[in-house]
Amino acid sequence: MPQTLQQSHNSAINFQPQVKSALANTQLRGNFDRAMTGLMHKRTMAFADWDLEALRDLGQAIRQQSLRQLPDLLEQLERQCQANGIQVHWARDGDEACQVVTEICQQRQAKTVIKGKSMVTEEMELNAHLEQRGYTVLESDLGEYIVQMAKETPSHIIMPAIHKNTAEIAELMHTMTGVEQREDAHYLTDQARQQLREKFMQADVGISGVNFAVADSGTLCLVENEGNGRLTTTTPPCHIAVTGIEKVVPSLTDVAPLLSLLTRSATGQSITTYVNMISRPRQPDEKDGPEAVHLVLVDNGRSDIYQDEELAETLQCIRCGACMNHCPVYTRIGGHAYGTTYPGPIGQVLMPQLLGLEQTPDFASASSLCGSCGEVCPVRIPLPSLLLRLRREAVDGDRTRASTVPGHGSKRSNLESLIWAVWRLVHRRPGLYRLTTRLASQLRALSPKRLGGWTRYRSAPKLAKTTLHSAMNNRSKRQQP
Amino acid sequence: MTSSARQTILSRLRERTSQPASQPPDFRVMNTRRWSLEDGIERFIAQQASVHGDVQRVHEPDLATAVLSRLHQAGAHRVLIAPSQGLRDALVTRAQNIDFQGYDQKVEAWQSELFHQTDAAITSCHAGLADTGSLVVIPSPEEPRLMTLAPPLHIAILPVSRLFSSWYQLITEEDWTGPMPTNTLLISGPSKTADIEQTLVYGAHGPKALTVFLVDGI
Repeated sequence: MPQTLQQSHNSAINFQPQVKSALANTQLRGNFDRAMTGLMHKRTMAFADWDLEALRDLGQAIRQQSLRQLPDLLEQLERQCQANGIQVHWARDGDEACQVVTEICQQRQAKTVIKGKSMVTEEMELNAHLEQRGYTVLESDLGEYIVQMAKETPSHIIMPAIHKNTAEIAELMHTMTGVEQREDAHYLTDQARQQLREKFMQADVGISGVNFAVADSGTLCLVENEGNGRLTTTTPPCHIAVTGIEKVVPSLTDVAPLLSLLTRSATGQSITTYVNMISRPRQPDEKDGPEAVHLVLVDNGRSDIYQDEELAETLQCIRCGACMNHCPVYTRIGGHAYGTTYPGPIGQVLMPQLLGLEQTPDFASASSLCGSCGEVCPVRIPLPSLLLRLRREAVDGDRTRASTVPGHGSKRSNLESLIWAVWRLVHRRPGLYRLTTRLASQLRALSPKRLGGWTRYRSAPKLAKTTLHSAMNNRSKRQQP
Repeated sequence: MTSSARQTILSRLRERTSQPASQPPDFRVMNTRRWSLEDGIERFIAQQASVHGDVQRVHEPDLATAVLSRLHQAGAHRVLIAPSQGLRDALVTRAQNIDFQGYDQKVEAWQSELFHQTDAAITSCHAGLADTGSLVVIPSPEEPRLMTLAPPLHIAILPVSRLFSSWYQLITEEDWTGPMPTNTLLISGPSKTADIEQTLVYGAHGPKALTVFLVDGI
C-alpha cells in the first residue's frame, strides 16, 4: 500500500511488513520493473559517446573539493547572494526551516503557495507545516501534483508518481478534479496544464529547490523539463528557494560537468528542457520575475554527517536517482516500502544518519551488496562500503563512543556478542579448536533443522562427518610410502 | 533565530579537523566535446530534433519569409517580439493579419492576456550549444523571462556565428565567473513531461513547440 502523508514521517521502522506487502503487489512491481529497466537502458545510451569514467572522476573531484571548502563556500554564497539582492536564511533543522518559510509567507500576507519539485522540502515536511497554518499549498510538478492529489509521498526522487500507471492516474484526476476519466497521458497532462496555469497566476509565493548553488556568482541553478519550475520562480511576486547546505559549488564551470552527469544519470537525457539560473530578484527596468528572492540554507543533520571523513561522502550526492534505478532491491519493492523521504541505496545510507540507526534498523542490511549503486553513482559515492560501515556502526559495542551516526550500537545483541566471543576463544587455541570441531561433528545429528528466516527457503547447514583437519591428516597418511 | 543558526552551522562545519585527501578536478574530458562548424550544426539540429525541437537553417535575406510561414502554419494571430529585434519591421509590413506586440509593460498589467491570448513569441538567443542542442537565452527588459515560457510557440533566432560546441566551451571562453544576469536559461526543446507512466508528452507547462531559425549571414 502506498503510504499516506500521516504515516510518512518515518515508517522505516516497519520496513519488513512494508516490503512484504510491496512484494505481493504485482501491479506495483510491474510499474517499477518496466520503469527501471527503461531508465537503465537510457542511461547507458546517454553516456555512449562519453569517456564516462573520466567524467565520473571529474564529478567526484568537484563535489569533494566543494565539500572540503564547504563553510567558506557557504559564506561566499551568502555574500554574493546578498550583493545580488537575494535574502539568505539559515536553518539548523527542518522545523526551523519551516518556520523561516512561514515567517516570509506571513510578512507577505500570502495565502497561496505554489511549489516546484524539491526533495529537501519533503524532508522537512513543509507542505504539512504550511497547511496546518492555513496556507493553500499546491505542487506544480506533474508527478508531485498527482502524488499530492492522492495524499501520498513521492516513490522516486526524480519521478514521484512512478508507482502509478495511467489508469490509476486517470481515475484519480477524474475523482479529484472532475476531468474525463481517459487513460491518455496527453489528455491528462493537458488538463493538468490548464488547471495549474490559473494557480501559477494566483499564487503569492513560489517555493523551489535548488540543484546547484554557485558561490562566486550567487546563482541558483534549477534543472527541469516541464517549465513548472520556471513558472514557480518567475510568476509569483516572491520566490523562496530551499536547499540543503551541501549543494554549493565554487563556480558555474563546476556546474557544467555535474549537469552532464546529472541529467544523463537520472533519465538518460543529454540535458533537461530547462536549466534555469537565477541570480537576483526583478530589477527596476525588468518586467517580470519575483520582486523578492529568498534562499533558505538547511542543515538538518548534514553538518553532523560532515564530521566523519568516510560518511561525509554521502554529501557528494547530486540526487540523480541512478542508484535506485539500478538497485535490484528498490526495483522490486519500490520507493514507499522504505518509508523515508529518500529511498533506495542513497536513502539507505543517508536516512540512518539523519534519523538514527534505531529508527532504520533494516536499512543497512537490505542490500545484496551487488555493487551496482556504487558503479553507476556519477560522483562515485562508495555506497556499498558505506552500507557496510553502517552495519558495523549498528552493532558497535561501545555505545558511549562518539559517533556521527545516531543510534550506533542499537542492533548489538548479547547473544550474538557471546557467540562471537566464544568463536574468538576457540579459534585462538588450536587444542580447544580441534576438540570443539571433533565434538561438533560427532554431535552433528543434533544440529538444528530450523534456523529462522534462513531455513524458510534453504536447507540448514550440517557439519561434515569428519573435520577438514582430520580429512587432511588421513590423506597425508595414505600418501606416505 | 537565523543568525544564531548561521553561527551554529558554520562553527559545526569548521569543527572538522581532518580534511580528506582528494584529487583536484581535471576538466580535460569536457574539452573532448568539440565539433567543427559543420559537424556542430549537424549535431545541434539532430539534438534539437531528438527533443522535438525544430531547426530551420536559413540565409538572412530569407529569414522574414521563413518566420512568417512558421507563424501562418501555427495559425498565430498575436505574436510577441521585441521592438529592437531587427526582424520586426520586415514582419510587420508583410503580415497585416498578425498583431506583433512588444512585451512592453510589467507582467502584472496583462498577465492573463499573456498566458491565454498570446500565440507565439520570437526571441533572440545569446548562443547555441551543439553538444546538447541547447539555446542559451538571457532574458532582458525587452525580452522578459515569460516570453520564452507563456506562449505555446517559441521561435528563436540563432545566428550560426553564435554556435558553440558545448556549454563548457561557452562558459570558459566567455569567462562566466562572477556576477551573472538576473536570469540565464538553457533551453532544449519545448517543455515536456514523462510523469504519467513514462509516456513522453510535449507541452507540459511551457511552450508546446519550439522552432529555431539558424541564420547564416548575421
